[in-house]
Amino acid sequence: MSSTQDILLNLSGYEFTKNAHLASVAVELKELTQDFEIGDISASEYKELLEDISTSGIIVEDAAALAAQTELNKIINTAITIASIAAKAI
Amino acid sequence: MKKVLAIIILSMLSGCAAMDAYFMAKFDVNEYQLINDVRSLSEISAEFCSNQQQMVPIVDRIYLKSLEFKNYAEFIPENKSSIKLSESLMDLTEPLHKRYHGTEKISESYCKQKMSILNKSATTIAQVIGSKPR
Repeated sequence: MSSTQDILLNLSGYEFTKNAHLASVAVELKELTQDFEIGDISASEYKELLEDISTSGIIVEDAAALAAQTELNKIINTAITIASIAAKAI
Repeated sequence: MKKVLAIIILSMLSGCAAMDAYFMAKFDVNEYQLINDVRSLSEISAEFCSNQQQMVPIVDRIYLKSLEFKNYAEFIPENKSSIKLSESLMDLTEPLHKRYHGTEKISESYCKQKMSILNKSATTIAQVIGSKPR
């Protein structure tokens, strides 16, 4: 495992992300790193939660991709509706 | 003129992303229900974190609901994005389930933090699943 100082530095990057989900997870995990340093949580628990933050990042990316696909679907359906109305009018 | 409109629409659909988007799986109430269950369970469970034994049935339920979500999404055609999200959710719930069925003592801080991450992730997933086209 990297040193807790390295981890704190990495988490600071997430804190300033525009994504509210990742930013709040990063803030909480920063506090957790401090908990780990004072021995409130075990090393395996800490490791698992750090892995969770990267899984959270993957979820945010995949969710954004699904949201973009939904938007594209709406645009295509709107275009088809407009085209069929125009075709009827011609 | 009709031919021109048809060509315009077909050219729009010829891109892979456009094809995927046009044929994507529509909103599914069961899929939405399952992710909402995970979201709600993780929301209420944080208050039981001080009692490891009390958390076991709650964790079992969270694990079962996320497994159901993954299995339900798996064979729905054109549902790639939801499948990926359900797999990532399993990556969060599987170690949680294993830990609560192990012998080690679990800290309250870990439990609260895990539930918070799980809740935020389930909320993010619910937002996009709920917005799928009708």
